[in-house]
Amino acid sequence: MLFMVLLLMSCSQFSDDSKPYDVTEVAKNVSGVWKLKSVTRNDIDITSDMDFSKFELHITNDGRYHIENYLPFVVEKDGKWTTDDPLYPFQLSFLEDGAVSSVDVNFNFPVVNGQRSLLITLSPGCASNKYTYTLERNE
Amino acid sequence: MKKIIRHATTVVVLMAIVILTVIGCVFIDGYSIAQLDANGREVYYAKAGSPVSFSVQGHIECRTTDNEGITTKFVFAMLAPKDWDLSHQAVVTYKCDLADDRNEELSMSIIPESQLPKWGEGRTWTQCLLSEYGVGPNVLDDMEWVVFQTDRTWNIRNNQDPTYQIFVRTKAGKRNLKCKLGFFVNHTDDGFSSGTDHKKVIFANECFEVLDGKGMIIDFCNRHFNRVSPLTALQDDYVTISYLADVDPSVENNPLAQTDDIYLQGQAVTIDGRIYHSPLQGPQTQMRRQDSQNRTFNLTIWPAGFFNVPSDEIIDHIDYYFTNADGTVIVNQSTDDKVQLGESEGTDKQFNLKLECE
Repeated sequence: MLFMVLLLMSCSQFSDDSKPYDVTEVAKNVSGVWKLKSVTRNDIDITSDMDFSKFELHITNDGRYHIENYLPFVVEKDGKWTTDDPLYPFQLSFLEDGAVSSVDVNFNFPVVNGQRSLLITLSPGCASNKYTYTLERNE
Repeated sequence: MKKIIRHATTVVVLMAIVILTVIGCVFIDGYSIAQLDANGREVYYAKAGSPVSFSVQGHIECRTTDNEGITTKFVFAMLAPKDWDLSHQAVVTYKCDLADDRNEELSMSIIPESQLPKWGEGRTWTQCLLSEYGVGPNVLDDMEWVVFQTDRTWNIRNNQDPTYQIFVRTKAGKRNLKCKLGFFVNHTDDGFSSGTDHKKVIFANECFEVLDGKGMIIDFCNRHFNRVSPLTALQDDYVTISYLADVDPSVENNPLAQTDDIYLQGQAVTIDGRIYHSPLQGPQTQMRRQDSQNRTFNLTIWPAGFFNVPSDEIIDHIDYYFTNADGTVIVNQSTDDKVQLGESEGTDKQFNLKLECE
């Protein structure tokens, strides 16, 4: 009996509760100055057809956003932003100052060439016209 | 190596068997897109939203060495403007000599997207049709192929040569337009094979017109000096306006034919009647040549930004024209009318783009 107790105790001495293969998910940081890298209209690339280079979406860590050199987007005026989930965000909500309800957009956040891209699909004009904005963080 | 040769031989033998087994053809013998007006005359137009009917006639010549014949479903597709929403509006029936009652109209249904053609290389029927035939002779691509198959499976024996008639009853769309309709026949046992024996396509010679509907007439039948993409847009869309200089290369009919320095000029008119002018000739309004193969010049604009319209105002339409650097030479709707219709009312009618959705 004593032997067994000693054995169990010795086992617990060597037990390892840490999980070496577990990776803690890092909260996704969507803040930054985002510029348009490409634009498609109804699946056709129109990036080179117009000057999209000046558009800037400023997302700041204090929960605010604003747009410089506006082009059609889901919101126009300055306001607040949130994501649905800090670890696995797939929805961005923009609430214009003075607005009652927010505009929610689904987005993708892939890593391309080591850089995060922000992909937003929107229809700022006719619903039948679908645009995909690929935004790149301005370093 | 031996394995490869054996495999190749097997493929050749199998192909030979297929060729020997099924030699037959599907034919389109004619079509009818004429509608009857109130006086019983045949016309190639219909009022927007009104019932329209079309028919296709043809025959099949079945030549097979297979004693069991060919077991298949007949496939029919129609090319029509997307605005017609054929997949939800059309009722398609057919008559066939193989039926017990050859005057009975039997039903056809839309082919489900998941039912792929045998030789379509993973593409749907619609994708195969679009890649093989595009939108036929139409000059704008806002058309779609809608594909149907017979609800009943047929068995056709060697030397049977049945005739068929297909009837499409649907409604004209809401928009004013002119287009060339198209028809396609095939069968599921063939499944869009590469040859033309088992599949046929025909495009109507006549330009079919929808009248008394929404918006200006969109002409799918003829190339004009101007083209707009997408066809429906609002002030917060990106709109590509094109000048197709090679529609008529003569300077007499097309005063800008000899220059590559082309500018878009015009004005936006709001629903309250306020007018906002485009920037003058300069980098913002200069149209870019699409490629060296043709003389098409494009400019993509965000209408609200291009005309500097305040965000609380709504643009009703845009009037525009193409011009040279000093504005002395112009191509406008009057220029286009003269080429398309042989005459024009005056010389200063501008192109018009109504900003509205479907």
